[in-house]
Amino acid sequence: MALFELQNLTKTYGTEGIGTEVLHGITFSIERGEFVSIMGPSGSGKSTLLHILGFLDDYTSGEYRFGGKRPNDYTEDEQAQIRNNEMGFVFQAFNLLPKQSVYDNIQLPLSYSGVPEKFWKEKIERAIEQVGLTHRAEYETYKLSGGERQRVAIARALVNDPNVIFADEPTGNLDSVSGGAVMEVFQELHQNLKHTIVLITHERFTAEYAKRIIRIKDGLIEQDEVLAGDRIRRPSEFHK
Amino acid sequence: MTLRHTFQTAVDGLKINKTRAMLTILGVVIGVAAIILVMSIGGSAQGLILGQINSLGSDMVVVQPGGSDITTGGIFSQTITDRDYQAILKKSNVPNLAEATPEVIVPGQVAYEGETYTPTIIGIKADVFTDAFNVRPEQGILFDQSDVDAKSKVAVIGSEVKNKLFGASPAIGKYIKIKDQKFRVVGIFGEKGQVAFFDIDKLVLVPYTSAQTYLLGTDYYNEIVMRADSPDNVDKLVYEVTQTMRESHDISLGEDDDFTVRTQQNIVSQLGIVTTALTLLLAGMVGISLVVGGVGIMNIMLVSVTERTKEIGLRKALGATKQDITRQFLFESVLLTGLGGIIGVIIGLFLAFLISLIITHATTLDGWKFVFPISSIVVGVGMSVGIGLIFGIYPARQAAKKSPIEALRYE
Repeated sequence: MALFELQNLTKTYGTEGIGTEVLHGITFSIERGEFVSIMGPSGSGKSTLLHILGFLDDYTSGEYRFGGKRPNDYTEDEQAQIRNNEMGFVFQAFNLLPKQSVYDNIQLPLSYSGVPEKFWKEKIERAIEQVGLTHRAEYETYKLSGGERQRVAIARALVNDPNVIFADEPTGNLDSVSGGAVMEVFQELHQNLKHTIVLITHERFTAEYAKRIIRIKDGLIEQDEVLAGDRIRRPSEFHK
Repeated sequence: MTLRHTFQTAVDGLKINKTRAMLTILGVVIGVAAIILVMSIGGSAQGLILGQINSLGSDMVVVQPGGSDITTGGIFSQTITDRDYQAILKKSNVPNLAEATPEVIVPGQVAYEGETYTPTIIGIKADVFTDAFNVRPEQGILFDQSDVDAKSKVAVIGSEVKNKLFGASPAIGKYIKIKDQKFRVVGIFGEKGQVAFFDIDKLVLVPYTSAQTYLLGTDYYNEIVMRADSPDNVDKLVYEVTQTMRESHDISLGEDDDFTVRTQQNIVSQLGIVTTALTLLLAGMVGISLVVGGVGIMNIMLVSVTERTKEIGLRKALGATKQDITRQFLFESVLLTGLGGIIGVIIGLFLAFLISLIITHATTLDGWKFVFPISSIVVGVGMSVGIGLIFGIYPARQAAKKSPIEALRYE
């Protein structure tokens, strides 16, 4: 069973009839362990799609199943629990709590989870290590560089061992060197730790770090292709 | 989210803007401080007033003519006589009596060598009066039972009476004129001022028998003043006196009394009710300022919720439930007001203590004591926490209602 299954999914903003349809019928599925880029120009509906996948927004019609179940099978609180336990989010604007330490920021999802407190330290330290920020653990996040902040956000997304990590334009606010470092982290998480990653981007360059690219334009899937191994970008290439 | 983490989150949230947090709670601080101040000063004033009244004896009982029904004549009636007094003095009638004296009031002036003065002239047994009101002559002596029996024309006068009539020259042994009758001054009270109902300085005390015979020409008393053998026996004394008076006045079963027995405790408790009511009224008015403070907190919390839309969205995206968000913001407002309450209590106590210090050192008010109003501290902190809850719930709900993507999009 695929982790994500979408069948003719649509999304209309505003009142039905006079509203704006952003997604016109999206159908695809994503398996556990895949690294997928959803790529499209701004306004194509890719962010809306990510919000729907992440239980942050409703869809208007069609079918969406995450792990075999529809979002509507859950109450609002259960949806919050699923976002907490099974999903990790990385945003373009990082969305960290600036006055709090790296450690405390990464702790945030744990504090909303049922994970007993005695396991927190170990989990947080492992997540910090995975993004290579152990030496920054006690820094308040506003003191960090953009690339470091985004790595904190990735650690936060990782800390609760989610089934999937959503990344919404994670390199959008970063220079190319920091962006490359962030993409390297994603690739490592995918290759070494078998994480499922759904990446949203408008850059082909960034999209090509994934094994599969779903191109969206005007609310429809334009192309869904699996990249041949030699076409997948390596981190070092980001610098060129 | 555990309560400890919710608490920690609320503290972190408040730390972000400390100046604003302090300004926000100013209303609550002032409100609570004012409540503590009013309650403490009110308590001290009440203690002072009741203490003064008590100083004339919580063991005092007075019987006056006239029943509770005004048509029977009140203090102008002539129904209390020596027969009643003698009946009360009998140990078999009133076993719990320590001492008693009739009292008559003499309207009029006193004069000495052309100087005149209008004092309060009372015919009484002087020792019972001084026992009850805890005053002693500074010069000379009191007249005693033998003077009463002999209807001696002697008087004990207050310091102001002495000064008006004699100035600086000695008064003991001199004769003052009351209604053209010469009374010899035997004692002078020191400067004492108001003690309960009497200004001691303006008093002239004479034996009640002399007052009746030479000044009034009457044979009834205005009242009989008694003291119980112990403050605990006041109720017994009231009962005994009532029974004795009914018997003495031939009042049959079922008929109403034609006299009234009053106790000091009656007056104390009535005054206590009045001062408590006044204090509560003041505290209530101050309470309104607390509500105003609460509205201020609600405003700021709403602003804070709007400002932190993005943070709320993030928390929801990361798995915070509506309840988590509601609790976080509710904790913040309760923490704010609770802190305001504690600061207010400290400031209020400090001010009340300061005012008490000033009053005891800069005025002649004897018996003013600083009151540590424990109940109002509980009420003050409790009310401010309550206000945090009441005025925090709406902003907290608004925060919890935010949809995560709306909140994340917010710039």
